[in-house]
Amino acid sequence: MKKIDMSKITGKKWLMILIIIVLLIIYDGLAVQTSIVSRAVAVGIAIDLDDQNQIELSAQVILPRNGGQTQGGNDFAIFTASGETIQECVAEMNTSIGAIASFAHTTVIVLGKKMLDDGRTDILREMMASPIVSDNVQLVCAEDKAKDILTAKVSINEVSSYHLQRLLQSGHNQSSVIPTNLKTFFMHYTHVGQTSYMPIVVRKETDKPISNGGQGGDDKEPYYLLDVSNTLVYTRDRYCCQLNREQSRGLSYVLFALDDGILTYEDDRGKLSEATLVRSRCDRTYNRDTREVVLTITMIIRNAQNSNLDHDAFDVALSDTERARIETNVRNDILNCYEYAKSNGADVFFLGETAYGSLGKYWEYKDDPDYLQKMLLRVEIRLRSE
Amino acid sequence: MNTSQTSYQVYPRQFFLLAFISAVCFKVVMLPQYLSVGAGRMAYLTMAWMMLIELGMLGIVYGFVSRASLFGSNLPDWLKAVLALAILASSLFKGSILCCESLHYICTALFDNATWSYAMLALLPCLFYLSYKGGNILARTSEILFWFLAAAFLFNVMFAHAEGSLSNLSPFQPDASVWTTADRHLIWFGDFTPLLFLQVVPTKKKSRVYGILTVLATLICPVLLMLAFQTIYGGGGVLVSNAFSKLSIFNKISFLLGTVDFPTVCAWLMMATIKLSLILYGAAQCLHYFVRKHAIVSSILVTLAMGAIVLIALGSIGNAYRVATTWIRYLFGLLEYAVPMIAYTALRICNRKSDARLPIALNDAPRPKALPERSGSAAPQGESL
Repeated sequence: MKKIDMSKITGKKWLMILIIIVLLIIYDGLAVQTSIVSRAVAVGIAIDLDDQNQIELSAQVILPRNGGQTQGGNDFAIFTASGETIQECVAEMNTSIGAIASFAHTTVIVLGKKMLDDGRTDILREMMASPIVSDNVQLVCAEDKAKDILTAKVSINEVSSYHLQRLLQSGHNQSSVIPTNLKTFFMHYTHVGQTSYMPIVVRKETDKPISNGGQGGDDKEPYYLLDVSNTLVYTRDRYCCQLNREQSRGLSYVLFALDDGILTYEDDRGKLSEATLVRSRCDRTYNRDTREVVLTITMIIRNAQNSNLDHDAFDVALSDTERARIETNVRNDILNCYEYAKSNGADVFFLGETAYGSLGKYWEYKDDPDYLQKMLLRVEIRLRSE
Repeated sequence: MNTSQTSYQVYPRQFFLLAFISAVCFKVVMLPQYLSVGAGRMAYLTMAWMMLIELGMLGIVYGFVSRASLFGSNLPDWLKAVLALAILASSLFKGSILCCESLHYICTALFDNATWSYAMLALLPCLFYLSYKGGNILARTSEILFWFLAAAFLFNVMFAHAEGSLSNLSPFQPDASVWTTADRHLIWFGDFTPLLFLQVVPTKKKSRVYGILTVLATLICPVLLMLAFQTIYGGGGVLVSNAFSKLSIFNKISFLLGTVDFPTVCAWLMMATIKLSLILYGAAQCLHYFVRKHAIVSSILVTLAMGAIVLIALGSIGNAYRVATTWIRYLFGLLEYAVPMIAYTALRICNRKSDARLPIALNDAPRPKALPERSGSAAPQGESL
């Protein structure tokens, strides 16, 4: 029998590459490939709990037109499914849509109040571990039903998901409510004290716009704007409290390096004036002897010239008393936020984490759940004008 | 084509590139999550500690392959046989575990619920072909990959946006969990054994620069990624599988469009293919040492064996993890460390003995002469040793 010289076959690289290409084509034929028109791309989702405590998942889905072609603008629809788990809801949703729901392009998740009241952190954990959802997705909480936010007919942008997306992704860290995404939520939630936060979204009725595309519906339905001025504090698997606008601002001074914002103060003439926040950051230290966490907030500010136009257009330097008033306002916002959260049992500034990060296993309250009541907070403000 | 004689010769820069891919590829995907679960805030220390050991191993392996390849060396045949048997067993085991990780990545991060068997159908022929073609083809492929890696890195620099907190790394209080976690994940380290089958051909260009760059990159990349992972995710890292894919999502784009990670996914997939092919290449060389038939038969057999272990014996990433962290890890994990050390020590002893026997200039017989390096080419074909 003639011996086959294998190297003659395997040495022909183009033959081998051809074989691999053929195998890949076979693979492509065998694997379930879903075309884009058979996919339901969800731009935003809402998660509620129904009366039987089942998960109710709603998705705002882009509807592809014939062959995926669009003639300006998109059509949207909201689909809802219920189940014990998110995966079950997704499977049911796929059946009702007749397409595969895709969450890779979801940028906003709205959470219902009942879900957070019931402490269903497990649902968020499932989302975080899931490969089908990006952990950059923004989290917001509805005052009541999450689906109501998704179905709101908004007067700007096409649909509420896009509207929320633009509200939450301004590109600047402002001294106001700070957006939270899935990974930031869990980063904070795994700190000592298990406290995290997210913006609360509220519908506010508004006038009808001149023209609007969106997801259709009766034109007599009211139009809304979405407001995200308040912050939800979530701690140890429970909906803890709501921070108002000023408290939310206080939270942002401490937790974030800000690069935008307005600081209002009473100027030397007794008028309300404004300074622009150019940049700020917060450094924290723990003093073991006094059990005190010191928050040192360094701010670079610029006096807003417009407010002084009637007085002296070029006199924009802040006096010492004006600077003191700004410092007091900032400190009040911070302490107001801290005290309110503390009274509700939330370590909103992560004092426990600061102490643990400093001392580790030598921190005396490491295993004490009431450590917050035994710690002190001092806030130091350092203002620099630009 | 004369693959059997020269397919193991590579240039220093190719060797170091392969070493980099070998060391980094599978330490940046599932391992950060595993280490976070085990060592918590000190997980980066576990990674740094193990990478320092890795670098020591790289030094030993380079010391060996700059003198000879394993089967081209003057080690006694019985020792070669023992080492080949050890490498064959450990390569099949380790290759199967790492292949499961690749399939998990492909079937979750790249495709939407693809099945392992279909992904294997596409992956195995590539692995077989690259492993059969030998070390210098793998080295050349890694040179091509380098530009994909560079492009992916550039995209990341341009579009990455991460908000982390350095406080997630404190307090610095190493405890027993650092070492127990390192011990538990032994299989993910000790990656240079398959490089023993290569031989570095000295070039007139100085290879020291490549060496230093590789050592730095090999140490820095996994540790830096681990640090980034911890600062960004903190304790939430225990929920994040596929760390490389998650961290390399271009956040600036992702905020508006959703996940955009295709360039890095592709770059990683190519790295994984090269790494697995290198393991199979080592295993096939060992089998060929015993079987002495066509090299292609050995390559086919080891590829099929690995495919069978992955699909039949392991079958899921959970099973792979469980098996990889049982007592078996000591057997195969330690082999990965022991084989290069034994081979290097034996080579030095054998060389010294032959030096004593042959006082004239034949003492360094296995070491090939320096060649002018050809830019952008595979290592020399048909050069006689």
